[in-house]
Amino acid sequence: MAQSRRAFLSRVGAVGCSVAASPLITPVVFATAPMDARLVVIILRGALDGLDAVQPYGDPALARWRKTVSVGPAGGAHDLDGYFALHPSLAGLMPLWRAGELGFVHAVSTPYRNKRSHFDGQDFLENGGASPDGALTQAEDGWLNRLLPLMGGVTEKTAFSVGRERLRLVSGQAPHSSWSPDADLELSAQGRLLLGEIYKNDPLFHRAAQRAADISEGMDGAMGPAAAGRAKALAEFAADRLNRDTRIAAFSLGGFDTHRNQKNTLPRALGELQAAILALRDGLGDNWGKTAVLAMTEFGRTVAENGSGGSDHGTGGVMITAGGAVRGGRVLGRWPGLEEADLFERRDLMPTDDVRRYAAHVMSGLFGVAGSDMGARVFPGLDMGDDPGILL
Amino acid sequence: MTIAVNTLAHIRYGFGLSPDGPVLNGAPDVLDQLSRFDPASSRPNLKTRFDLHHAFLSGRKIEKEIGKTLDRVTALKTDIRQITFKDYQIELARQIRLRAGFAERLAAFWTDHFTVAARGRYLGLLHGAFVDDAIRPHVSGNFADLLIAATTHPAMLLYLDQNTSIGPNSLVGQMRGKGLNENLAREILELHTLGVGSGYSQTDVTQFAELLTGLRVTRAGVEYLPRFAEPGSEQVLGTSYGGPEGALKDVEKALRDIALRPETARHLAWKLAVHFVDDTPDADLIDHVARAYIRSGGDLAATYAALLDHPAAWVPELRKVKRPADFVVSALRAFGASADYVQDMPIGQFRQNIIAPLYTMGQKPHQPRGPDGWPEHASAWITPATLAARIKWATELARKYGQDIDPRMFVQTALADAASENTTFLVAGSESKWEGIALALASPEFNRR
Repeated sequence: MAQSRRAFLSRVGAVGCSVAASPLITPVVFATAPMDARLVVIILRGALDGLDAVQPYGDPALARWRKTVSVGPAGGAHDLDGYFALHPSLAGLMPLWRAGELGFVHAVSTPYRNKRSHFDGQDFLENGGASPDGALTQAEDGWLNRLLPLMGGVTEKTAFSVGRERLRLVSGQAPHSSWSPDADLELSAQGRLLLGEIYKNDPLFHRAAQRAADISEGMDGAMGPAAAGRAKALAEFAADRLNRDTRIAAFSLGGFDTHRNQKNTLPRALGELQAAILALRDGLGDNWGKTAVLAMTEFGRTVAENGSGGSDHGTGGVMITAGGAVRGGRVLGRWPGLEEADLFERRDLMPTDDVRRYAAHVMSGLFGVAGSDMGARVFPGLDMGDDPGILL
Repeated sequence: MTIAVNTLAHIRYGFGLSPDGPVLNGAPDVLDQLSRFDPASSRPNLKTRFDLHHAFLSGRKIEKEIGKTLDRVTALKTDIRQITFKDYQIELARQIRLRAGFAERLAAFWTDHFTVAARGRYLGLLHGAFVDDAIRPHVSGNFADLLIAATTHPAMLLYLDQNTSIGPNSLVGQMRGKGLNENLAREILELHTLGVGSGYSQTDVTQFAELLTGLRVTRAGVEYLPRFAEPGSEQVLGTSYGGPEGALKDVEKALRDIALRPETARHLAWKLAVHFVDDTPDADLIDHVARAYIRSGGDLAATYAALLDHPAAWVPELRKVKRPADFVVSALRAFGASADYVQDMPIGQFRQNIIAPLYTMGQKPHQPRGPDGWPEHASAWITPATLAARIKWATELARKYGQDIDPRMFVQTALADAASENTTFLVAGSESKWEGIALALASPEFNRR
């Protein structure tokens, strides 16, 4: 569908309750930006399970909550610091960890609480507001967009959103660009799972859908590498832009909503993330040294494994940092513990810090934006606190 | 489970809910749309299409004589193709544009009832004129007028081989030794009026075919040419038509009589009930509609009123499956898409975004396999391959246009209280907005009516 959204949606405002202005894809033009640092923000859609990605196996309570996932080094995870271990599917990132180019911030979240809706949570994460009920700021724009005017000398090429999805994170008044690789349209694992469920009460549709699934079964095996290939393509494009005039790139990866059989569904999503980070490193070459990558998700997942080998929507989670500009090799954050009394509402990892604070310090450090501006303009209502020292 | 009248009025009797409303509070609101239906068309008229076709034919002839292609003939070919696509764009735009679409649904119903499969360049070109001239002006008029208009339209005559039907004892028949082609006569009785197995005989078919001889498509349009007409009167269903010289008025008289027969009433009532309500409709519903048809002398508005005032018409269970084209239109409506989006889409995009997906969903626009039109039965439309095609199209649409729309609200707009708990729950559980919207569009409820 190649027509403009505007032509299509004459009255879309009547449908959506969170509609912002139409993004128009700007033609590729080159311009220079004065600053030299690079920032990549990756939105992990579907709520990454931080307790499985970065497993606190040193916490004795973990093994009581989880049996088939987050089993630590015994299950093939890679020890990071004697307390946390990295999910086996992120093994390809271990060299970065050892080189100090990969780090984590654990037990963090946005201020969004209690409702645990993906849509609200993602909107909220990208909007960067402070209201626990998930209300967006008045402009409903993204925090990366609000950063741009503070950087000085930005052009429409300074910030790029990559992919077919529109990122609220980058949208707003400040000029920016977007690009999408000609990726196949494909539902996430969770999307396909839900699709299987949606027909269960209609025998005609149910039969047809099952047969259709059988037919496409052969194609399923090829989806892992194909998906990783797409994430790689996004990252490669981003790296290419960042090697020229772009300083900020953002894209999103899906597939993290692992309600069922997480042991088998999360690896695919993590594989995409790993492919993206490695493609950024390879593609950025010398510029990798000036780059910080932040991978953030809307919220974490329940501490307890659920009845179908997965985890449900939670609160506290993990942020992943990477890049040569990052002081890696550390898991930051204040660990709240996993005893039942330690948990948020006795079910979720307790967020002990605001994930926006870490992002704010990174942006402030990379682009020389004053901390006071970060709190006033980029993340309204944010208390910057002490510098957690993510950057070198 | 209950479903509000407004929801059913839009989903079952229109092209689906849209954010534009309006609220339809029952049968009178639905019927009221008929009086506001404007059959006027902006599409090229029959003469324009005829002239194009004949210009193309004569150009072709010259090309053959000189043994090379001519630019102006190639241009004509392109023009004809463009008109065919544009016709369909305008048709879909009409369906999207209407705030409530019962009249357009009826236009589609009768277009299908009087199927002219738009195969080949010529029929493809004439199809739009057939709909505009023969179908749309009579959607809520008298069935006899509709029957006559459809039967005597060049597209129908060409499609059902009437030009090859010649009275064996007519002047031309004697000269050329040619005879009848019963196709049109048979399909009128079997499909358009009485219905198969309703008691007419082969003799009726043959006699009716003889009566129809003389009715022909010429360079001038449709003409009644006595030199092709079988002389003498014909007995059709026990009534004698025509004198020694055939005339168009005899054909029209027979069509009017056939239109008012109880078998026709029953057949049409059954077809309406099957199309709108249920693949196996309630017998009482059929009786009720057929009685109204007879009582009103074939008045279609009165017939629809009977359909809509029967309780079976409002069963709160979506038993029918939307045909692919209706699925596509209703999905676009649910987004609040503008009609211009489809109408002004460049043809290449239209083919890629709409036509090609419709093929994979099992519906080549205006090209059903035979004169009996598209199948009604749900199982004909939902097969593994065609359901996968619906899901794929829905996914692409949602990915493209559903990024900013809260799927929980989208379900409300698109399905209102027809959304099942299961669907509402699953849509809310998807991991991104567009996936939730894709699910809503792929859901059984959205594909039913």
